Amino acid sequence: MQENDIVIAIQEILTDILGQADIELTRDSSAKDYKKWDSLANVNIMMTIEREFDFKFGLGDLDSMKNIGNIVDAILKRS
Amino acid sequence: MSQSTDYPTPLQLFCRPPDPKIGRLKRQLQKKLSGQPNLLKKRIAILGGSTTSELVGMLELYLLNCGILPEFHQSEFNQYYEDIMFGSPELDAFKPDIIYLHTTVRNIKRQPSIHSTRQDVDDLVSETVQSFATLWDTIENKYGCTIIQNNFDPPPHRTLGNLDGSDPRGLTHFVRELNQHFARAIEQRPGLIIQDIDRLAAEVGLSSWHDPSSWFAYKCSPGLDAIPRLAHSLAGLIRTIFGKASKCLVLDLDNTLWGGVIGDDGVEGIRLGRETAEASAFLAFQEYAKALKERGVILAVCSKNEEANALEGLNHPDSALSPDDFTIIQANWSPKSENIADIAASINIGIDSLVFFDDNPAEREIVKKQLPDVAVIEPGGPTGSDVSSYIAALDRSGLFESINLSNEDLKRSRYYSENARRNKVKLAHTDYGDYLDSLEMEAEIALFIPQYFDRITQLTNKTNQFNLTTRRYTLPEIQSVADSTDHIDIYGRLTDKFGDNGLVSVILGKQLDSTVTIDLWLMSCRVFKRDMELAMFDAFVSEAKKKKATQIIGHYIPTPKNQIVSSLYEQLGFNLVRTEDNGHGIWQFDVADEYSQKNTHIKVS
Repeated sequence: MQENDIVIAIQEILTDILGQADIELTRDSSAKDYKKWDSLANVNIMMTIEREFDFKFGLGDLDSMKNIGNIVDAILKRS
Repeated sequence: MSQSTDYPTPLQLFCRPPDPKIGRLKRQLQKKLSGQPNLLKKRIAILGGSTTSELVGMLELYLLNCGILPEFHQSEFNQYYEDIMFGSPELDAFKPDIIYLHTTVRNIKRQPSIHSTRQDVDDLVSETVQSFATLWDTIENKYGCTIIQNNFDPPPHRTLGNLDGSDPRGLTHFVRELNQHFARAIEQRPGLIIQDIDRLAAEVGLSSWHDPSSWFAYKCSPGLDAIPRLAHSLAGLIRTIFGKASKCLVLDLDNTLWGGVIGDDGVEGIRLGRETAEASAFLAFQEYAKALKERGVILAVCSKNEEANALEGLNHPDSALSPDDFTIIQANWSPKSENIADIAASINIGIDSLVFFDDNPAEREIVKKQLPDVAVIEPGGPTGSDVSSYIAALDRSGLFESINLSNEDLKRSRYYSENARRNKVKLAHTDYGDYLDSLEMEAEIALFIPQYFDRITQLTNKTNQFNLTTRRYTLPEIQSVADSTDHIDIYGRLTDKFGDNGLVSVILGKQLDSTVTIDLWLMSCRVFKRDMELAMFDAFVSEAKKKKATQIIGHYIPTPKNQIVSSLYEQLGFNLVRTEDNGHGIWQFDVADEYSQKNTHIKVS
């Protein structure tokens, strides 16, 4: 899977969970850019990413995630 | 889920082993399923000791697949105790039809320690059970809704090793004791249903059930891969609560109930019994089907065979099932879809209450296509349809889930078999009135009494055809209706020379001044066309007179299933007041002094 495809897939997941249509992600996008991306939404987002990409984040990865770029790298590293 | 792009037919998701990866198709499935017509709307509150959003998503899929459109309320993470005990405005406003209390072994805070005495452990068990009992009581008093409580799953690890299960200080031992107490709790609490996740965790396998990263990262228990199984199990219970459980198992014969083709191999050639591996697997499947029959599932045969051959096979000396175990045997050469439709019509149950089991994938495909409402089981195993997989495929579908076993359930098969005998007598009479008289019917019709509350509740939740308003009631609601003085609520039992049909009809009316409105009128399909509705109406009118009512208002709310009563009020002499846009008809009847009894064939006591 290409980096760009992954970003688009994450964008769809965020659109769904945050209920917001105009999301455009870059590697630097992060939770603080979106008001509805709180800790509860974060759990949903991460679980959905694991489910849809059929992989699991390492617990250490989860703790150090800062932005979309980190998520994409974790997915690329494991798939 | 190979045909993920197809519209999943009703119950299709139930009929195959729950796929842990179903989640990836969730969004796409959900859109398709929500578009189905005639979904039953229900409000379900999920109060959990862990993160429940993933569960809610999966549960929605399974419920949609069995015709229920859920609306959900979730407690904040681990706020279930506070929400119930101290109230939550959101939950109160939500007015749940069902509350699901989801806690797992991860939520057990107070556990025995290595220093506990037997007495300490006993005390801890009682305290823990008591705290749940308080929750259940509060829910019952406050919301009066059905409670689904899961029991506890085995712990993820055992610090005492094997001793963890036998020493009172072990957590495994502690959890087993709690589960025993939960099981006993249902005896006192008819509104409480225990979901057995102890069993479910075993089926899933503990290493996948207790995925530690799902717990540490998301506080989600069980693990993400086990959530579809949990949702599937829960949906099976919920559809049963709302009267949608399957009722009849339709079985093929050749290579389904025995090995081989009886028409070719002869009765001595078929493989059934204890002699070979294959023969004993077929016998085991027959024994499983027989056990289902004994607890109230109706059995039918649908087989491409000469009837004589079919009967010969079922009379095989090693056969666990005999021809008498089947309410109906359709053995002929017509297409199975036609035979299955005939089975539903002759037993008089909805086609969506049937489950079809056939080893032949081609037959299964045709039935799925022609009769999409029939649940078609997909066996698996080494050969795709291997007899070794039959029991598991049926058992894990959860289609015959049951929430309590009433005496009625145990007698159900008998009722339907007696009906088959009545039908034979009917053929011998040319005049329908003569036939009714020949049945020597006697009815007991009276105001609700507590011993029947369970059965009445059950009827309100599963009767779909003769049901004017299709309103569902919970047990506490039935109790409160029976206790109130402004209600006229009657039940009817019917007996005839072939047997006791049991409690088969209910009318529930609410009085305001001199008007009685019929909120609910239903009758079991067992006794259609027997004039029982006339006897019930006579009795209702006489109660209304006693309460000085001068008019009765009746509502007919159309559903896809209750066409049979669309003109009932008209036939009884009601006047149409008006019809609303959705076909909802409102009817009026004057209670006259000179009311003459309509029933002439049933002796009423």
